[in-house]
Amino acid sequence: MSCIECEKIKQGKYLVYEDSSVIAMLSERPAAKGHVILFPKEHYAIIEQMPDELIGHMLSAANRISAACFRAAGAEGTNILINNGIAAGQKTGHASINIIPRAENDGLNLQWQTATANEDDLKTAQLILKDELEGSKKPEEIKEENQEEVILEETPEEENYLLKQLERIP
Amino acid sequence: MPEQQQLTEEDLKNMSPEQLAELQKQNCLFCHLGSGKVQSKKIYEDEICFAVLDINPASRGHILLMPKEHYAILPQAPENAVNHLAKTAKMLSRAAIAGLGAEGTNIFIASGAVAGQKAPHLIMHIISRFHDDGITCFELPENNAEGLEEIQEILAKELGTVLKKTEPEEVSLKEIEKALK
Repeated sequence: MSCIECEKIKQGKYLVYEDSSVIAMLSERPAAKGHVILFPKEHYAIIEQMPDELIGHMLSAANRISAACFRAAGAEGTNILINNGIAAGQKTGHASINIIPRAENDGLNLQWQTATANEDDLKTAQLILKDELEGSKKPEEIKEENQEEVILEETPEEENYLLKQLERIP
Repeated sequence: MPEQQQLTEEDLKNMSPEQLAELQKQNCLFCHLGSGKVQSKKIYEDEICFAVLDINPASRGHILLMPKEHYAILPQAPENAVNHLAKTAKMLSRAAIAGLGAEGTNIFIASGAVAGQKAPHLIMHIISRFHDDGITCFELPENNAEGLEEIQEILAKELGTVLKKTEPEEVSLKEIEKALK
């Protein structure tokens, strides 16, 4: 199958991270400065098609890239966004994760309109989803030996805006 | 929520990071949702995480997935928790598609106030999407890129990625040997 993203992955232009299963490249049409798009190397259209291990690995890699944006690229915040399906704004046929560094007054607005949900609607949706999930295969239990160091521990405290925020009491 | 005794700034200064973390947990609404102290429309729970329906949703079937442990932002969560959250998000997204007839989902994490984070607890939003649902905020603007090489170098270095320099096509050793014969 011919896929534009598969071609881009082969070329690896503006590559920032790569391992055996994923590749991350800077967007050439960024939503904000330093916008990174992370792809699985293998072709999957939507995340539901991806094996559990891969989606887990993808988010870990996205988190690492997000942390790098904080540490090295002066981000004051980050958004991680998956547009999964055409109705959700997916533009290409290859699943991806956006990592978008954020700064004060960067002009980007990813905030949705909220409404107060009708209690009956909520309860119905709750019943349906609970039913649906009861039949789903749960993600496999995490093995202790797979635990890795917390990424934030590497972060120099005095430079990190978010860490300063965290020290404050909510 | 449990009554908090009044703490002075002096008290807070003298607290250890562990005590401060404990205090944050005690004050976190989302930790109370996880433990069941505060009522919610819970749809899923396991040892590591839980999911509830947002009572102020973006659409029908707006799910909030959270770790039970208190992490303020994603980079604080250990790798195994991040992995597990991703797998669970995939399962929830599939359930929204199968059960609610969603035609897609947005999976969204905000780290930091400037990114739109509102809660002091790491939250993964799984937002069910329907054609013509009027949600436009996830249509990412496409700006002209500036200084891509510079950002690439900074991020690649931070991520330990070795960038290949674009050099003339490599000639394999075999070809050289052949030419020398």
